Amino acid sequence: MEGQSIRPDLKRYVENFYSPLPKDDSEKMAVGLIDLAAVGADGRRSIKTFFEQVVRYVFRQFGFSEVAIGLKDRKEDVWKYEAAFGFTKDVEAKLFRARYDRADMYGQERFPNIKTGKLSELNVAEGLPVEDTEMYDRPYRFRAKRTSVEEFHQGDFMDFWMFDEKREIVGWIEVSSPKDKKQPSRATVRWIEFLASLCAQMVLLRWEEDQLRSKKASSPGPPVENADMPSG
Amino acid sequence: MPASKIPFQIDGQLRQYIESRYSPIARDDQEKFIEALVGLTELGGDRKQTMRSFFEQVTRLIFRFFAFNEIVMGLYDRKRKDWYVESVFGFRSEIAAEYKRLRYSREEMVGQDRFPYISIGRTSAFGPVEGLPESERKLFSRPYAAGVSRKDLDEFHEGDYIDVLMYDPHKNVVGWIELSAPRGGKLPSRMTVMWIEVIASVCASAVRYRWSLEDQSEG
Repeated sequence: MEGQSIRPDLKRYVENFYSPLPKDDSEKMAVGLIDLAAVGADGRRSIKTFFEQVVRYVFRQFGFSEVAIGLKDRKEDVWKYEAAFGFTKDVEAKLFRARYDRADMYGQERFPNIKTGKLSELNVAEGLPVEDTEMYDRPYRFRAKRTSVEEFHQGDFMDFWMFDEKREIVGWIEVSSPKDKKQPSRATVRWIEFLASLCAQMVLLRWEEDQLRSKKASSPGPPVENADMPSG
Repeated sequence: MPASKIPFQIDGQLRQYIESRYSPIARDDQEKFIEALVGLTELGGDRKQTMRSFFEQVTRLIFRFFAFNEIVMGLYDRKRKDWYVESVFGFRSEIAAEYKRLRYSREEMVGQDRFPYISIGRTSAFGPVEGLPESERKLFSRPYAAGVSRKDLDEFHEGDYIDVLMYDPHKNVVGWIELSAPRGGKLPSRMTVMWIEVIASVCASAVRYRWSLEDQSEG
């Protein structure tokens, strides 16, 4: 026996209760994450396009005026920026030219930092190499002293790491210039950590699927078996 | 020695403040939930985890944070080209066994004829008990209660269920999360549905990641 039709009053009530437009900031955040996950998982969209959406999301949702995302080169130990938002054109160009090696990414010497979570750290302006202060749109002057520990100082930035299962850095989200110029809330830091881990999942999925495609291209075999799955 | 190579010491007061402000132990339910989500994405990328153990973690997360007492998770079978139940939580053993025997065709999975539903999100649908075929009653924990008429429109009735689908980018269903018996007996909040959709997105990528690994190992 097939199912019966749904009571119209129940249908109306449920559709109204779950109307699709987000009603507050929490709903916007959740819907934004669902949309980002969809773009991130879609290999037809470039990783740069995905990251460009992520930087805008971080700007909108968490109030940082400058956001950048970097990625590891798959073939060598080089990390570089893929997307940037909120920087001047000059600084953006410098960001895209920058290259980091393993010592830069894993060491404390070049970018002294304080851990702010399992996946994040605060890099303080005072410890930045001079050449990097020029690069980041945040020229730090030693005369401009930090007035309070709560202040997010000009030149400070936070990194949120994307790790693979061996704790290798596959990428990172970098934020600076919070609109209120204060250290972000714990919740903000934890949410961006989740976003970084979501990005890591998408990057790793894309890398695996790319590798599989290359393998299949080099050894022609039968077509992928789920080609006739339904469209929902 | 260039200036950039001189070891730098971070101000002690600043370090103390930051370390205390962002201490890693979760302080409230929101932080615990985020921590669990991060853990889930990590588990999804861990090739040592089986699909079942991953789904069991997802189930535990949903049970803990969203107060559903009955949770089923299913997958697409790429060889048989149908859908099956991979993990069952909160049911008596004989009902769990019935679930494990089920196979769903494409029409059952995405059509409206056999299982009419109301969309309640981007990837989720509410299936009221009134629309279910009689044959599905063997899956109810309290079949006697399913026959009692619905009192309120916001009631989550015995036999009602919510399906949150996991999609690939081509809108193929790779799996699903089925929820019923919410504690409190009411329709879940909008936020609950949205967060479970986020979880389903993480699951969809984890499923595809495993499929990709399987395909590579099979050559």
